[in-house]
Amino acid sequence: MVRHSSLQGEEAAAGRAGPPGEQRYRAVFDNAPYPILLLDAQGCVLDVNEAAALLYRYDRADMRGLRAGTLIADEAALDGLFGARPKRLPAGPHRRKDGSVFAAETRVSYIPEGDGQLAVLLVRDVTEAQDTLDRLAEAEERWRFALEGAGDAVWDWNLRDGRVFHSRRSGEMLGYTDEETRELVLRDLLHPDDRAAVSRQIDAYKKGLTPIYEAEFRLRGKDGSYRWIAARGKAVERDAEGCPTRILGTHRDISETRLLMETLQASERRWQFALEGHGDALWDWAVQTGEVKVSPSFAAIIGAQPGVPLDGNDIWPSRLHPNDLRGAMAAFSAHLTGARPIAEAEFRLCANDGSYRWVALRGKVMERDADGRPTRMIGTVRDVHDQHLAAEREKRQQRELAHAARLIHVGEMASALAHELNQPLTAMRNFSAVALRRLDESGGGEAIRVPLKMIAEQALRAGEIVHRVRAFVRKGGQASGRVALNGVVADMVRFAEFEARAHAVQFALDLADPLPVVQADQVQLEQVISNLVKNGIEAMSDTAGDRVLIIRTMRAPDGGVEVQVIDRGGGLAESVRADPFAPFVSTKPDGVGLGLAICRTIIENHGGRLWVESSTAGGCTFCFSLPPMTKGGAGDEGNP
Amino acid sequence: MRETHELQRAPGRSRETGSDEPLVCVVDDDDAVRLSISLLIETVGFPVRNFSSALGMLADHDAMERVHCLVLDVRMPGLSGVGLQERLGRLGRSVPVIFVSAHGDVPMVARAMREGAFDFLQKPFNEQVLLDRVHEAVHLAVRRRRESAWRSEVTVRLDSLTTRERDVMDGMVAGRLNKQIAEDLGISMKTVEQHRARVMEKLQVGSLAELVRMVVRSGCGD
Repeated sequence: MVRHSSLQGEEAAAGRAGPPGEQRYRAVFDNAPYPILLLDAQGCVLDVNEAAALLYRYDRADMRGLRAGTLIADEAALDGLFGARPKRLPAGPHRRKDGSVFAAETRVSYIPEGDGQLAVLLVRDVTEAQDTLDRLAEAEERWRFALEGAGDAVWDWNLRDGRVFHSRRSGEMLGYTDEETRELVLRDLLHPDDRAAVSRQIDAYKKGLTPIYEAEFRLRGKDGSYRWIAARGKAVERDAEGCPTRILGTHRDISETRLLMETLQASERRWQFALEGHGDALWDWAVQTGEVKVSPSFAAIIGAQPGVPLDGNDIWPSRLHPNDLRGAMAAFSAHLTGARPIAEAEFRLCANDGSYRWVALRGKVMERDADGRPTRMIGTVRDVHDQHLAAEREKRQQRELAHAARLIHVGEMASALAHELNQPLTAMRNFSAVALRRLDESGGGEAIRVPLKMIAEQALRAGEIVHRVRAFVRKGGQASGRVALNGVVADMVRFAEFEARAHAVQFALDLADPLPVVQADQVQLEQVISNLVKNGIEAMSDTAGDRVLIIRTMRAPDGGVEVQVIDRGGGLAESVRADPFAPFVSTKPDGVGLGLAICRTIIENHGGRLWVESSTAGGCTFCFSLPPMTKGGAGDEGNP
Repeated sequence: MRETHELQRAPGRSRETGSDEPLVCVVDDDDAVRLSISLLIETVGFPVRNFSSALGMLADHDAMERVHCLVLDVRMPGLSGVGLQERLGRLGRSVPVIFVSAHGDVPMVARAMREGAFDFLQKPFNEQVLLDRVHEAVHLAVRRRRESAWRSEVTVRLDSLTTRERDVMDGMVAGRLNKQIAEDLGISMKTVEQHRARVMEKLQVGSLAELVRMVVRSGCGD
């Protein structure tokens, strides 16, 4: 290793100058750009040149007679100066006039002077070089310490002259002796398939594209077999343009590791296979770059082509349902910060067709960088869409069950109340009718005839209200029978006629005929249709244009029946748009918010579905479907 | 009201008037309803007897005998309205029953109709509908009663015939000539003619055609 060739040149210049004449010698001495100290045998400064005065920040005259130890802080180094006559003093601290210290390297030559000799010291400020050296030494120490155990080899590559120094270990790992190692040219041992890649890596490093030179390649051993080597290197010297001129690095035999990795990859594949078999999809997320690799079943969940790489942010966050984003991100960050051992979250993931599916995600950071930042997360995703919907439905049903229990309670109360109320109402009606008839017989009494008639009418009206309330709250005990929906629609339209007139709404019926009969509780279906019709009428109470409520029945593709109620109102209100069927949410000032919830329960109890087909500023379409009648399932209460 | 109470207190009053005068019975456990229905029906001229329970009605033999139309509450303590209807059916009394109920329970209506109820009205009802149905029920009952009265009268007349007269009558209804009947029975033509005159007299018919019609209609012919 030749580190300071330039200094050798200076030394040669100073040493070989000779004494062609005092004047010339003096001129050379004075004008030399390098600091020179001339010491006598006692170690005192005889003379210095301008450069030295500049370096030590003295007046030149003041330096004469100074003890060398004043300038060279490491006095011990001076001890053997005229005894052992060392050619150089180790780099060490020198002291300026102001007391500040700098690192300098000193070359020494000796000139006979009478019966003694003088020492000529060429001083070079190596503060910068010293730093590098220190770092280097430190790094080398570290490397050696860290890598010795693993049997790493060290190399030192001078890019100026192309010379490469290899440590003993470099050859040893390839089966060469120490002597052979010195003669080795590793480039020649490189596997032909790896040459291009290694060159690329080196170029990239030289151009500053990579922070560190790293390459993995095969080198041919003495026995002809190839060993896998991982090389790492870093520039320790650079030229003015910043290009590396010297790279220091290591070689590590990773043949075993690679074998292990291949085994690991195989086992990872097995693991992946096993998990996929359980329906779990896998993902592998390079956290820093954002790149996400997913398994085929993951791709299947989101409807992506298997094997087509996904963009970094394509999965999260961009495919997450906006409503689930916060929860999922909280779960991620709780894990990334170490609060949770595993990231777990359930959220909706957008498939390529735009639909959302519920998935359950579990993930764990598998790799972190030197600063502890996560670089790789691996995990699973399970399609829990159906379970989730089922759970949602169950939750809702539980909610509604509790509600239904209350309703049944209310229903029973209403039933009892209806009976109790209907009796006096009947009596009222009859008594007033009797009174009217007696007036007819006796003649006259015109003044009280009208109010009597009113009493009779109001008694009937009160009875109707009681009946409706009771029919509405009766939820338990479905009375199943064959129901012709067109008839129900016609009845309910008649029922709502009064309300429709009050809101200037006209009905437009579009009833498919013939329409399959369905198996259902007619009263409950009446409840549903009446509810939808009433909602439709009320939705148009502020409509400026034509107020038409379209009610359409049609045969469903599965042989069942579908009913649509289409209004021309302003669409669903913001507060109910998310789930118009949620119980206890109402847009009406006096609404309980149960109408649609009960409707949905009824329809679902019948094996059908109730949904909002569309809701725009131009109106809203509610639909429900009922399944076709099952053969023999006429529900004839067990008649043979 | 007073009128009805008197009616209730004097069950024997109508006995002399005979079972042909249409009687409407109202059974309802609710006093006001029972009274109002009774008064209502009385305004159209039918005598009414009312009961607060089904068993009370069953215990009144006179009412059971004369009832033309029954206005019956479905749900009552003790024997229910439908229960009473079934009981009447078993007793062979086909009285038109108009059910009135404060509960519109579908299964109950179905059961009542299956048992042959004349109608089912939900309380409160339009009284005109009830009155119309009562009228119709009474007319139906009157027709049925006349029919059965006539039938029992015919039975009495037929029973008054001697065996030989009956044989001759059967021959007459079968369209056989006197001579043929005489041969069938092995008696003289003259004897046949005498029997024939007795048959016409006992059955109170003026012609052979009338005789045939009566026998066929009564279902007593061979």
